[in-house]
Amino acid sequence: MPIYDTPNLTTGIDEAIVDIVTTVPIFSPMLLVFIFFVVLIGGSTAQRKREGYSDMPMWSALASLSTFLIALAMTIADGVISLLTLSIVITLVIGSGLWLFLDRNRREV
Amino acid sequence: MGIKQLIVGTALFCIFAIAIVSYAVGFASDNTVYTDIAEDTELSTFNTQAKTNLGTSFSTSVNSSSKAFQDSEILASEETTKTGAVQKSAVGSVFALKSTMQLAVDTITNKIFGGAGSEFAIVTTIFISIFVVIVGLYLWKNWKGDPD
Repeated sequence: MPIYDTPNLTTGIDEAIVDIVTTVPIFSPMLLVFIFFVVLIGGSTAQRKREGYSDMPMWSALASLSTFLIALAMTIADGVISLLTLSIVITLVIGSGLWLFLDRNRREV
Repeated sequence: MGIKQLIVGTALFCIFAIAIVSYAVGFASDNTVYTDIAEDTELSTFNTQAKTNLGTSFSTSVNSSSKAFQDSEILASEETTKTGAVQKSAVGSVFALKSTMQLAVDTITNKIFGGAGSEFAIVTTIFISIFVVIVGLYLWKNWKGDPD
């Protein structure tokens, strides 16, 4: 007896992803959270090693923008991402933009 | 953060927010998408109001600030005022975008922190309080220097 029903791959990889999301609805939000934190932590840690400090507002803006682009691609297939998840991602971009533009130092915009 | 930087930062944030939502709406209309961000009333309202604030209120305020700057004069042997009118009117142009900032904070509150009145409201309250303090410190820094 299988632990779970294997997705149907004969109709294409996107159908398999839709099958996964239908079975586990948290899949797409968790994938976006993963992308966000990979860019945020990876980028800020690399910058800290290179320059001695990490520009968290900039990396949060870049991480949310990366997540936003992946989330937009997800909207093309039916049932992969919900409207609520997409609107939360866009709100995250707006929030990190607010942080970024109010955080700049005297010598930079 | 000086006055120029505060004005540019605030205006750039509004442009950035409008661009992001407009890009999402444009992407939805260009492609056959199943999840359309235009169906989200809150973000659509935010986009429309931010455009109005930036295109109408901010432009009017900047024009009146520029006119005040042009009209201002210091006569010979006149005492210089402590805070010039130009300074005040320039800062006033930032406050034309205040409702956009408020709307952005409300949208963030509702979308990410669950909105007021929920069980999660204490997080929202703390977050907004910290945000208000930071904005207050930025304003103080603008006028009086680094608060530290």
